Amino acid sequence: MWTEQILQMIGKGVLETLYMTLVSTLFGYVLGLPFGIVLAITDKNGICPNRFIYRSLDILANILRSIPFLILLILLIPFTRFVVGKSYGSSATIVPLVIAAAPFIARMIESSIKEVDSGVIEAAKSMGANNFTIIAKVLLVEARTSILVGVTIAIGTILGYSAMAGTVGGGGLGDIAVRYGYYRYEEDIMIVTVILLILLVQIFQFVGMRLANVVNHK
Amino acid sequence: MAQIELKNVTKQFDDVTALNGINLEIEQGEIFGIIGMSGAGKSTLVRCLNYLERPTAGEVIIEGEKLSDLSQKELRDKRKSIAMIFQHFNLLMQKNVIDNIAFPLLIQGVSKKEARKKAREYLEVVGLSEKEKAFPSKLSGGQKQRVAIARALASNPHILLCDEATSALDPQTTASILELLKEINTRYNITIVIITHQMEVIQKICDRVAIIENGNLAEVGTVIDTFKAPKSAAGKHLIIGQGNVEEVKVLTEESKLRVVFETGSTYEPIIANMILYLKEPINILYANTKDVNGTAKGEMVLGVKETQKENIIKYLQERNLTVREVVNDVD
Repeated sequence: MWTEQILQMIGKGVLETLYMTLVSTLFGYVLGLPFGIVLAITDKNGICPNRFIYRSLDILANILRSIPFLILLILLIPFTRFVVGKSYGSSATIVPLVIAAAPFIARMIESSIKEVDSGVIEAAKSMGANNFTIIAKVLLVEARTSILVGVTIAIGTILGYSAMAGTVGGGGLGDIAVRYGYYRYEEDIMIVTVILLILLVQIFQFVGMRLANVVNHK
Repeated sequence: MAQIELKNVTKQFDDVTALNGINLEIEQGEIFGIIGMSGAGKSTLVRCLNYLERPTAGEVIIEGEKLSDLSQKELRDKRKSIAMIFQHFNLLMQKNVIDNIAFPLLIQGVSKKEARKKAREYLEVVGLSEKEKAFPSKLSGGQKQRVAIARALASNPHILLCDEATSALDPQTTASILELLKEINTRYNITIVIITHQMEVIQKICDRVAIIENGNLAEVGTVIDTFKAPKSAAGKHLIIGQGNVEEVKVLTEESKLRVVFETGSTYEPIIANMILYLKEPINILYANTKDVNGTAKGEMVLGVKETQKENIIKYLQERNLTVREVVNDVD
Protein backbone atom coordinates (compact mmCIF):
# COMPACT_ATOMS: atom_id res chain seq x y z
CA MET A 1 0.00 0.00 0.00
CA TRP A 2 3.00 2.35 0.34
CA THR A 3 2.94 3.13 -3.31
CA GLU A 4 4.91 5.99 -4.71
CA GLN A 5 1.64 7.81 -5.14
CA ILE A 6 0.90 7.70 -1.43
CA LEU A 7 4.43 8.78 -0.53
CA GLN A 8 4.14 11.69 -2.93
CA MET A 9 0.84 12.62 -1.40
CA ILE A 10 2.34 12.60 2.10
CA GLY A 11 5.31 14.65 0.90
CA LYS A 12 2.92 17.18 -0.62
CA GLY A 13 0.98 17.16 2.65
CA VAL A 14 4.09 18.07 4.62
CA LEU A 15 4.84 20.95 2.25
CA GLU A 16 1.26 22.19 2.38
CA THR A 17 1.26 22.06 6.17
CA LEU A 18 4.53 24.02 6.30
CA TYR A 19 3.19 26.50 3.79
CA MET A 20 -0.04 27.09 5.70
CA THR A 21 1.69 27.28 9.07
CA LEU A 22 4.49 29.61 8.13
CA VAL A 23 2.48 31.96 5.92
CA SER A 24 -0.31 32.12 8.52
CA THR A 25 2.21 32.83 11.28
CA LEU A 26 3.75 35.58 9.19
CA PHE A 27 0.41 37.27 8.46
CA GLY A 28 -0.74 36.51 12.00
CA TYR A 29 2.17 38.67 13.21
CA VAL A 30 1.53 41.33 10.60
CA LEU A 31 -1.87 41.82 12.25
CA GLY A 32 -1.13 40.59 15.78
CA LEU A 33 2.05 42.56 16.45
CA PRO A 34 0.56 46.04 16.04
CA PHE A 35 -2.64 44.80 17.70
CA GLY A 36 -0.64 43.57 20.72
CA ILE A 37 1.52 46.70 20.89
CA VAL A 38 -1.57 48.92 20.94
CA LEU A 39 -3.12 46.73 23.67
CA ALA A 40 0.04 46.99 25.78
CA ILE A 41 0.58 50.74 25.45
CA THR A 42 -3.04 51.83 25.85
CA ASP A 43 -3.59 49.83 29.03
CA LYS A 44 -3.75 51.95 32.18
CA ASN A 45 -0.09 51.39 33.04
CA GLY A 46 1.08 51.68 29.44
CA ILE A 47 3.00 54.58 27.92
CA CYS A 48 -0.11 56.20 26.42
CA PRO A 49 -3.14 54.97 28.33
CA ASN A 50 -6.41 55.19 26.45
CA ARG A 51 -9.35 53.48 28.06
CA PHE A 52 -11.58 53.55 25.00
CA ILE A 53 -9.06 52.03 22.59
CA TYR A 54 -7.92 49.45 25.11
CA ARG A 55 -11.44 48.30 25.97
CA SER A 56 -12.48 48.08 22.31
CA LEU A 57 -9.49 45.98 21.29
CA ASP A 58 -9.71 43.94 24.46
CA ILE A 59 -13.30 42.98 23.67
CA LEU A 60 -12.50 42.29 20.01
CA ALA A 61 -9.64 39.98 21.01
CA ASN A 62 -11.89 38.16 23.49
CA ILE A 63 -14.68 37.67 20.94
CA LEU A 64 -12.36 36.31 18.26
CA ARG A 65 -10.64 34.03 20.72
CA SER A 66 -13.84 32.59 22.08
CA ILE A 67 -15.10 31.32 18.71
CA PRO A 68 -13.99 27.69 18.27
CA PHE A 69 -11.63 27.46 15.30
CA LEU A 70 -13.76 25.00 13.38
CA ILE A 71 -16.77 27.31 13.62
CA LEU A 72 -14.67 30.31 12.62
CA LEU A 73 -13.51 28.35 9.60
CA ILE A 74 -17.09 27.83 8.47
CA LEU A 75 -18.24 31.34 9.41
CA LEU A 76 -15.45 32.84 7.34
CA ILE A 77 -16.16 30.84 4.17
CA PRO A 78 -17.76 33.77 2.29
CA PHE A 79 -14.92 36.04 3.32
CA THR A 80 -12.32 33.43 2.37
CA ARG A 81 -13.95 32.99 -1.01
CA PHE A 82 -13.85 36.74 -1.46
CA VAL A 83 -10.14 36.98 -0.62
CA VAL A 84 -8.72 33.81 -2.21
CA GLY A 85 -11.37 32.97 -4.78
CA LYS A 86 -12.19 29.53 -3.35
CA SER A 87 -12.98 28.10 0.06
CA TYR A 88 -10.98 24.84 0.07
CA GLY A 89 -7.30 23.99 -0.21
CA SER A 90 -4.32 25.20 1.72
CA SER A 91 -4.28 28.81 0.47
CA ALA A 92 -7.90 29.23 1.49
CA THR A 93 -7.16 27.82 4.95
CA ILE A 94 -4.63 30.58 5.56
CA VAL A 95 -7.42 33.17 5.83
CA PRO A 96 -9.21 31.70 8.87
CA LEU A 97 -5.86 30.67 10.35
CA VAL A 98 -4.67 34.28 10.28
CA ILE A 99 -7.94 35.56 11.75
CA ALA A 100 -7.79 32.99 14.53
CA ALA A 101 -4.08 33.47 15.22
CA ALA A 102 -3.94 37.29 15.22
CA PRO A 103 -5.78 37.91 18.52
CA PHE A 104 -3.92 35.03 20.15
CA ILE A 105 -0.61 36.49 18.95
CA ALA A 106 -1.73 39.96 20.08
CA ARG A 107 -2.29 38.64 23.61
CA MET A 108 1.16 37.09 23.70
CA ILE A 109 2.76 40.31 22.42
CA GLU A 110 0.81 42.30 24.99
CA SER A 111 2.03 40.10 27.80
CA SER A 112 5.64 40.10 26.53
CA ILE A 113 5.69 43.90 26.41
CA LYS A 114 4.13 44.22 29.83
CA GLU A 115 7.01 42.18 31.25
CA VAL A 116 9.48 44.93 30.33
CA ASP A 117 10.83 46.60 33.47
CA SER A 118 9.00 49.89 34.00
CA GLY A 119 12.24 51.43 35.27
CA VAL A 120 13.85 51.05 31.86
CA ILE A 121 10.87 52.78 30.25
CA GLU A 122 11.13 55.57 32.80
CA ALA A 123 14.85 55.92 32.04
CA ALA A 124 14.09 56.24 28.32
CA LYS A 125 11.45 58.88 29.06
CA SER A 126 13.91 60.79 31.22
CA MET A 127 16.27 60.91 28.22
CA GLY A 128 13.57 62.58 26.16
CA ALA A 129 12.56 59.54 24.09
CA ASN A 130 9.19 59.81 22.35
CA ASN A 131 6.65 56.97 22.40
CA PHE A 132 7.66 55.66 19.01
CA THR A 133 11.30 55.37 20.08
CA ILE A 134 10.25 53.71 23.33
CA ILE A 135 8.23 51.10 21.40
CA ALA A 136 10.84 50.44 18.73
CA LYS A 137 14.04 50.67 20.75
CA VAL A 138 13.04 49.76 24.27
CA LEU A 139 9.87 47.66 24.43
CA LEU A 140 10.41 45.43 21.40
CA VAL A 141 14.14 45.04 22.04
CA GLU A 142 13.83 44.25 25.74
CA ALA A 143 10.91 41.90 25.11
CA ARG A 144 12.43 40.10 22.15
CA THR A 145 13.27 36.84 23.95
CA SER A 146 9.76 36.58 25.27
CA ILE A 147 8.37 37.50 21.84
CA LEU A 148 10.43 34.75 20.20
CA VAL A 149 9.17 32.20 22.71
CA GLY A 150 5.71 33.44 21.73
CA VAL A 151 6.46 32.85 18.04
CA THR A 152 7.39 29.27 18.86
CA ILE A 153 4.14 28.75 20.71
CA ALA A 154 2.18 30.44 17.91
CA ILE A 155 3.72 28.17 15.24
CA GLY A 156 2.82 25.07 17.25
CA THR A 157 -0.74 26.24 17.76
CA ILE A 158 -1.23 27.30 14.13
CA LEU A 159 0.14 23.96 12.97
CA GLY A 160 -2.47 22.25 15.12
CA TYR A 161 -5.23 24.48 13.73
CA SER A 162 -4.10 23.80 10.17
CA ALA A 163 -4.52 20.07 10.77
CA MET A 164 -8.01 20.76 12.08
CA ALA A 165 -8.81 22.59 8.85
CA GLY A 166 -8.20 19.25 7.15
CA THR A 167 -11.66 18.10 8.22
CA VAL A 168 -13.23 20.55 5.80
CA GLY A 169 -10.82 20.00 2.93
CA GLY A 170 -8.13 22.38 4.05
CA GLY A 171 -5.20 20.44 2.60
CA GLY A 172 -1.99 19.43 4.33
CA LEU A 173 -1.31 16.52 6.68
CA GLY A 174 -4.52 16.99 8.62
CA ASP A 175 -6.52 16.57 5.46
CA ILE A 176 -4.74 13.31 4.63
CA ALA A 177 -5.22 12.00 8.17
CA VAL A 178 -8.95 12.65 8.02
CA ARG A 179 -9.50 11.34 4.51
CA TYR A 180 -7.48 8.15 4.90
CA GLY A 181 -7.69 7.42 8.59
CA TYR A 182 -11.27 8.45 9.26
CA TYR A 183 -13.17 7.99 6.01
CA ARG A 184 -11.23 5.03 4.62
CA TYR A 185 -10.05 3.28 7.79
CA GLU A 186 -6.44 3.24 6.62
CA GLU A 187 -5.09 3.80 10.05
CA ASP A 188 -1.40 3.34 9.21
CA ILE A 189 -1.50 6.39 6.94
CA MET A 190 -3.16 8.35 9.69
CA ILE A 191 -0.49 7.28 12.17
CA VAL A 192 2.29 8.32 9.79
CA THR A 193 0.75 11.76 9.32
CA VAL A 194 0.35 12.18 13.07
CA ILE A 195 3.99 11.23 13.60
CA LEU A 196 5.01 13.76 10.96
CA LEU A 197 2.94 16.46 12.68
CA ILE A 198 4.61 15.64 15.99
CA LEU A 199 8.04 15.84 14.37
CA LEU A 200 7.25 19.22 12.83
CA VAL A 201 6.11 20.64 16.18
CA GLN A 202 9.26 19.29 17.84
CA ILE A 203 11.51 20.86 15.23
CA PHE A 204 9.84 24.26 15.47
CA GLN A 205 9.90 24.14 19.25
CA PHE A 206 13.58 23.20 19.34
CA VAL A 207 14.70 25.82 16.83
CA GLY A 208 12.52 28.52 18.39
CA MET A 209 13.76 27.98 21.93
CA ARG A 210 17.38 27.81 20.75
CA LEU A 211 16.97 31.10 18.95
CA ALA A 212 15.29 32.70 21.95
CA ASN A 213 18.22 31.68 24.15
CA VAL A 214 20.81 32.94 21.71
CA VAL A 215 19.36 36.45 21.64
CA ASN A 216 18.77 36.65 25.38
CA HIS A 217 21.33 38.58 27.43
CA LYS A 218 19.38 38.85 30.63
CA MET B 1 18.48 83.40 39.17
CA ALA B 2 18.63 79.88 40.46
CA GLN B 3 19.05 77.09 37.91
CA ILE B 4 16.19 75.07 39.38
CA GLU B 5 13.28 76.81 41.04
CA LEU B 6 10.31 75.12 42.63
CA LYS B 7 7.37 77.35 43.43
CA ASN B 8 4.70 75.93 45.66
CA VAL B 9 4.96 72.50 44.00
CA THR B 10 2.12 70.23 45.06
CA LYS B 11 1.39 66.70 43.91
CA GLN B 12 -1.82 64.96 44.75
CA PHE B 13 -2.39 61.25 44.06
CA ASP B 14 -6.11 60.55 44.43
CA ASP B 15 -6.54 61.25 48.14
CA VAL B 16 -2.85 61.24 49.09
CA THR B 17 -0.86 64.47 49.10
CA ALA B 18 2.65 63.40 48.11
CA LEU B 19 4.03 66.94 47.99
CA ASN B 20 2.60 69.91 49.74
CA GLY B 21 3.65 73.32 48.45
CA ILE B 22 7.40 72.85 48.11
CA ASN B 23 9.49 75.97 47.50
CA LEU B 24 13.11 75.38 46.68
CA GLU B 25 15.97 76.96 44.74
CA ILE B 26 18.97 75.03 43.53
CA GLU B 27 21.97 76.91 42.17
CA GLN B 28 24.00 76.03 39.13
CA GLY B 29 26.98 73.82 39.96
CA GLU B 30 26.00 72.76 43.46
CA ILE B 31 25.45 69.28 44.80
CA PHE B 32 22.08 69.44 46.44
CA GLY B 33 20.76 66.70 48.66
CA ILE B 34 17.14 65.89 49.35
CA ILE B 35 16.70 63.56 52.29
CA GLY B 36 13.67 62.03 53.92
CA MET B 37 12.29 58.79 55.23
CA SER B 38 10.79 56.42 52.70
CA GLY B 39 7.36 57.66 51.72
CA ALA B 40 8.27 61.27 52.51
CA GLY B 41 7.71 62.27 48.89
CA LYS B 42 11.32 62.75 47.79
CA SER B 43 11.07 60.39 44.80
CA THR B 44 7.98 62.23 43.61
CA LEU B 45 9.81 65.51 44.11
CA VAL B 46 12.77 64.51 41.94
CA ARG B 47 10.37 63.27 39.23
CA CYS B 48 8.72 66.68 39.22
CA LEU B 49 12.08 68.21 38.26
CA ASN B 50 11.93 66.57 34.82
CA TYR B 51 8.15 66.29 34.71
CA LEU B 52 8.10 62.50 34.77
CA GLU B 53 5.48 63.45 37.34
CA ARG B 54 3.42 66.54 36.62
CA PRO B 55 2.75 68.58 39.76
CA THR B 56 -0.95 69.14 40.38
CA ALA B 57 -0.15 72.74 41.36
CA GLY B 58 2.83 75.06 41.43
CA GLU B 59 5.67 75.66 39.01
CA VAL B 60 8.95 73.98 38.19
CA ILE B 61 11.29 76.43 36.51
CA ILE B 62 14.50 75.09 34.98
CA GLU B 63 16.98 77.62 33.65
CA GLY B 64 14.24 80.20 33.44
CA GLU B 65 11.77 77.98 31.58
CA LYS B 66 8.51 76.98 33.18
CA LEU B 67 8.08 73.28 32.44
CA SER B 68 4.31 73.67 32.46
CA ASP B 69 4.55 76.05 29.49
CA LEU B 70 6.38 73.55 27.29
CA SER B 71 4.73 71.41 24.63
CA GLN B 72 5.33 67.65 24.71
CA LYS B 73 8.09 68.00 22.17
CA GLU B 74 9.75 70.93 23.93
CA LEU B 75 9.57 68.99 27.17
CA ARG B 76 11.31 66.00 25.57
CA ASP B 77 14.03 68.33 24.31
CA LYS B 78 14.37 69.89 27.74
CA ARG B 79 14.79 66.45 29.29
CA LYS B 80 17.89 65.90 27.18
CA SER B 81 19.68 68.42 29.37
CA ILE B 82 18.40 66.85 32.60
CA ALA B 83 19.90 63.38 33.02
CA MET B 84 18.79 60.92 35.64
CA ILE B 85 20.20 57.84 37.36
CA PHE B 86 18.21 55.36 39.40
CA GLN B 87 18.38 53.01 42.37
CA HIS B 88 18.00 49.94 40.17
CA PHE B 89 20.18 51.37 37.37
CA ASN B 90 17.51 50.77 34.68
CA LEU B 91 19.92 49.72 31.96
CA LEU B 92 18.71 48.02 28.79
CA MET B 93 19.35 44.36 29.58
CA GLN B 94 19.47 43.30 25.92
CA LYS B 95 22.07 45.90 24.92
CA ASN B 96 25.74 45.80 25.78
CA VAL B 97 27.51 48.48 27.78
CA ILE B 98 28.59 50.64 24.87
CA ASP B 99 25.13 50.62 23.26
CA ASN B 100 23.52 51.47 26.58
CA ILE B 101 25.68 54.57 26.85
CA ALA B 102 25.11 55.43 23.18
CA PHE B 103 21.33 55.11 23.63
CA PRO B 104 20.51 58.71 24.64
CA LEU B 105 22.61 59.95 21.73
CA LEU B 106 20.70 57.74 19.30
CA ILE B 107 17.49 59.21 20.68
CA GLN B 108 18.89 62.63 19.83
CA GLY B 109 19.51 61.52 16.26
CA VAL B 110 23.29 61.12 16.44
CA SER B 111 24.62 58.48 14.02
CA LYS B 112 25.41 55.08 15.48
CA LYS B 113 29.13 55.40 14.77
CA GLU B 114 29.39 58.86 16.30
CA ALA B 115 27.31 57.79 19.31
CA ARG B 116 29.57 54.82 20.03
CA LYS B 117 32.64 57.00 19.75
CA LYS B 118 31.28 59.44 22.33
CA ALA B 119 30.08 56.55 24.47
CA ARG B 120 33.64 55.22 24.63
CA GLU B 121 34.88 58.55 25.96
CA TYR B 122 32.38 58.50 28.80
CA LEU B 123 33.03 54.86 29.51
CA GLU B 124 36.61 55.89 30.13
CA VAL B 125 35.50 58.68 32.47
CA VAL B 126 33.72 56.12 34.66
CA GLY B 127 36.68 53.74 34.43
CA LEU B 128 35.05 50.77 32.71
CA SER B 129 36.67 50.78 29.28
CA GLU B 130 37.40 47.05 29.40
CA LYS B 131 33.68 46.27 29.81
CA GLU B 132 32.63 47.84 26.52
CA LYS B 133 31.12 44.65 25.07
CA ALA B 134 29.76 43.19 28.30
CA PHE B 135 26.02 42.92 28.94
CA PRO B 136 24.57 44.47 32.10
CA SER B 137 23.67 41.06 33.57
CA LYS B 138 27.39 40.32 33.82
CA LEU B 139 28.21 43.49 35.80
CA SER B 140 28.21 44.15 39.55
CA GLY B 141 25.88 46.76 41.04
CA GLY B 142 28.62 49.37 41.23
CA GLN B 143 29.62 48.74 37.63
CA LYS B 144 26.01 49.01 36.49
CA GLN B 145 25.70 52.36 38.22
CA ARG B 146 28.91 53.53 36.54
CA VAL B 147 27.46 52.58 33.17
CA ALA B 148 24.27 54.45 34.09
CA ILE B 149 26.36 57.51 35.01
CA ALA B 150 28.24 57.32 31.70
CA ARG B 151 24.89 57.06 29.92
CA ALA B 152 23.66 60.11 31.82
CA LEU B 153 26.77 62.09 30.86
CA ALA B 154 26.54 61.13 27.20
CA SER B 155 23.82 63.66 26.48
CA ASN B 156 25.89 66.53 27.92
CA PRO B 157 23.38 67.39 30.63
CA HIS B 158 23.40 70.55 32.78
CA ILE B 159 21.66 68.76 35.60
CA LEU B 160 22.02 65.22 36.94
CA LEU B 161 19.21 63.82 39.08
CA CYS B 162 20.12 60.86 41.30
CA ASP B 163 17.20 58.89 42.65
CA GLU B 164 18.50 56.75 45.53
CA ALA B 165 21.46 56.02 43.28
CA THR B 166 23.49 54.32 46.02
CA SER B 167 20.73 52.65 48.00
CA ALA B 168 21.21 49.26 46.34
CA LEU B 169 25.00 49.33 46.82
CA ASP B 170 27.28 48.25 49.65
CA PRO B 171 29.08 50.98 51.66
CA GLN B 172 32.38 50.69 49.81
CA THR B 173 30.78 50.85 46.38
CA THR B 174 28.60 53.71 47.61
CA ALA B 175 31.73 55.65 48.56
CA SER B 176 33.32 55.11 45.14
CA ILE B 177 30.15 56.12 43.29
CA LEU B 178 29.87 59.26 45.41
CA GLU B 179 33.48 60.10 44.63
CA LEU B 180 32.73 59.70 40.94
CA LEU B 181 29.72 62.01 41.23
CA LYS B 182 31.82 64.62 42.99
CA GLU B 183 34.45 64.36 40.27
CA ILE B 184 31.81 64.80 37.56
CA ASN B 185 30.39 67.81 39.37
CA THR B 186 33.81 69.49 39.43
CA ARG B 187 34.95 68.41 35.97
CA TYR B 188 31.81 69.20 33.97
CA ASN B 189 30.23 71.74 36.32
CA ILE B 190 26.99 69.73 36.32
CA THR B 191 24.46 70.50 39.01
CA ILE B 192 23.70 67.31 40.91
CA VAL B 193 20.50 66.70 42.83
CA ILE B 194 20.69 63.67 45.12
CA ILE B 195 17.68 61.97 46.61
CA THR B 196 18.51 59.64 49.46
CA HIS B 197 17.43 58.33 52.83
CA GLN B 198 21.06 57.87 53.88
CA MET B 199 22.53 60.75 55.90
CA GLU B 200 26.06 59.52 55.10
CA VAL B 201 25.48 60.26 51.42
CA ILE B 202 24.45 63.83 52.16
CA GLN B 203 27.35 64.34 54.56
CA LYS B 204 29.85 62.98 52.10
CA ILE B 205 29.24 65.11 49.03
CA CYS B 206 26.37 67.56 49.29
CA ASP B 207 26.78 71.31 49.64
CA ARG B 208 23.23 71.97 50.74
CA VAL B 209 20.42 69.75 51.91
CA ALA B 210 16.64 69.87 52.02
CA ILE B 211 14.79 67.69 54.48
CA ILE B 212 11.42 66.40 53.36
CA GLU B 213 8.84 65.00 55.72
CA ASN B 214 5.32 63.89 54.84
CA GLY B 215 5.39 65.87 51.62
CA ASN B 216 6.50 69.06 53.36
CA LEU B 217 9.81 70.82 53.23
CA ALA B 218 11.02 70.66 56.84
CA GLU B 219 14.23 72.67 56.41
CA VAL B 220 16.90 73.71 53.92
CA GLY B 221 20.45 74.76 54.64
CA THR B 222 24.11 74.05 54.13
CA VAL B 223 25.03 70.53 55.09
CA ILE B 224 27.44 71.79 57.72
CA ASP B 225 24.89 74.02 59.46
CA THR B 226 22.20 71.39 59.25
CA PHE B 227 24.50 68.75 60.66
CA LYS B 228 25.63 71.00 63.50
CA ALA B 229 22.21 72.20 64.49
CA PRO B 230 19.19 70.68 62.76
CA LYS B 231 16.19 72.91 63.30
CA SER B 232 13.22 70.76 62.35
CA ALA B 233 11.96 67.67 64.12
CA ALA B 234 12.58 65.63 60.98
CA GLY B 235 16.12 67.00 60.78
CA LYS B 236 16.81 66.13 64.41
CA HIS B 237 15.46 62.69 63.86
CA LEU B 238 17.63 62.12 60.79
CA ILE B 239 20.82 63.62 62.18
CA ILE B 240 20.81 63.22 65.93
CA GLY B 241 18.51 60.27 65.84
CA GLN B 242 20.97 58.23 63.84
CA GLY B 243 22.05 55.40 66.02
CA ASN B 244 22.18 57.19 69.35
CA VAL B 245 18.70 58.21 70.35
CA GLU B 246 17.97 54.71 71.55
CA GLU B 247 21.02 54.67 73.81
CA VAL B 248 20.27 58.15 75.10
CA LYS B 249 16.77 57.12 76.02
CA VAL B 250 17.76 54.39 78.46
CA LEU B 251 19.96 56.61 80.60
CA THR B 252 18.68 58.51 83.65
CA GLU B 253 17.00 61.88 84.00
CA GLU B 254 20.13 63.86 83.23
CA SER B 255 20.09 66.60 80.63
CA LYS B 256 21.63 65.61 77.37
CA LEU B 257 23.82 67.91 75.37
CA ARG B 258 25.02 67.28 71.85
CA VAL B 259 28.37 68.82 71.07
CA VAL B 260 29.84 69.06 67.58
CA PHE B 261 33.62 69.39 67.14
CA GLU B 262 35.14 70.59 63.90
CA THR B 263 38.47 69.61 62.48
CA GLY B 264 41.20 71.65 64.09
CA SER B 265 38.69 73.43 66.31
CA THR B 266 40.92 72.68 69.25
CA TYR B 267 43.92 70.78 70.43
CA GLU B 268 42.85 71.32 73.99
CA PRO B 269 41.37 68.31 75.81
CA ILE B 270 38.16 70.24 76.33
CA ILE B 271 36.01 67.67 78.07
CA ALA B 272 38.77 66.67 80.50
CA ASN B 273 39.56 70.31 81.32
CA MET B 274 35.88 71.07 81.77
CA ILE B 275 35.51 68.27 84.28
CA LEU B 276 38.52 69.55 86.22
CA TYR B 277 37.24 73.11 86.08
CA LEU B 278 33.65 72.41 87.11
CA LYS B 279 34.57 69.58 89.44
CA GLU B 280 31.52 67.72 88.24
CA PRO B 281 31.41 64.28 86.63
CA ILE B 282 30.10 64.07 83.10
CA ASN B 283 28.67 61.08 81.38
CA ILE B 284 29.67 60.53 77.75
CA LEU B 285 26.64 58.82 76.29
CA TYR B 286 27.69 58.70 72.68
CA ALA B 287 30.61 59.79 70.57
CA ASN B 288 31.37 59.47 66.91
CA THR B 289 33.25 61.09 64.07
CA LYS B 290 31.65 61.66 60.73
CA ASP B 291 32.94 62.72 57.39
CA VAL B 292 30.90 65.78 56.45
CA ASN B 293 31.77 67.15 53.04
CA GLY B 294 35.30 65.89 53.29
CA THR B 295 36.04 67.29 56.74
CA ALA B 296 35.87 65.26 59.91
CA LYS B 297 33.24 66.29 62.42
CA GLY B 298 33.22 64.95 65.92
CA GLU B 299 29.90 64.42 67.56
CA MET B 300 29.29 63.71 71.24
CA VAL B 301 26.26 63.42 73.46
CA LEU B 302 26.97 64.27 77.11
CA GLY B 303 24.83 63.41 80.08
CA VAL B 304 25.08 66.24 82.60
CA LYS B 305 23.34 67.25 85.80
CA GLU B 306 20.42 69.61 85.27
CA THR B 307 22.00 72.11 87.70
CA GLN B 308 25.26 72.20 85.75
CA LYS B 309 23.66 72.40 82.33
CA GLU B 310 23.91 76.18 81.86
CA ASN B 311 27.54 76.31 83.05
CA ILE B 312 28.55 73.55 80.70
CA ILE B 313 26.84 75.06 77.70
CA LYS B 314 28.56 78.36 78.45
CA TYR B 315 31.94 76.66 78.91
CA LEU B 316 31.68 74.79 75.62
CA GLN B 317 30.32 77.72 73.66
CA GLU B 318 33.20 79.88 74.84
CA ARG B 319 35.41 77.36 73.08
CA ASN B 320 33.46 77.78 69.84
CA LEU B 321 31.76 74.44 69.91
CA THR B 322 28.18 73.99 68.76
CA VAL B 323 26.07 72.79 71.67
CA ARG B 324 22.39 71.85 71.62
CA GLU B 325 20.26 70.25 74.23
CA VAL B 326 18.83 66.95 73.09
CA VAL B 327 15.43 65.92 74.29
CA ASN B 328 14.81 62.19 74.54
CA ASP B 329 11.89 62.41 72.29
CA VAL B 330 13.37 64.23 69.35
CA ASP B 331 9.94 65.27 68.14
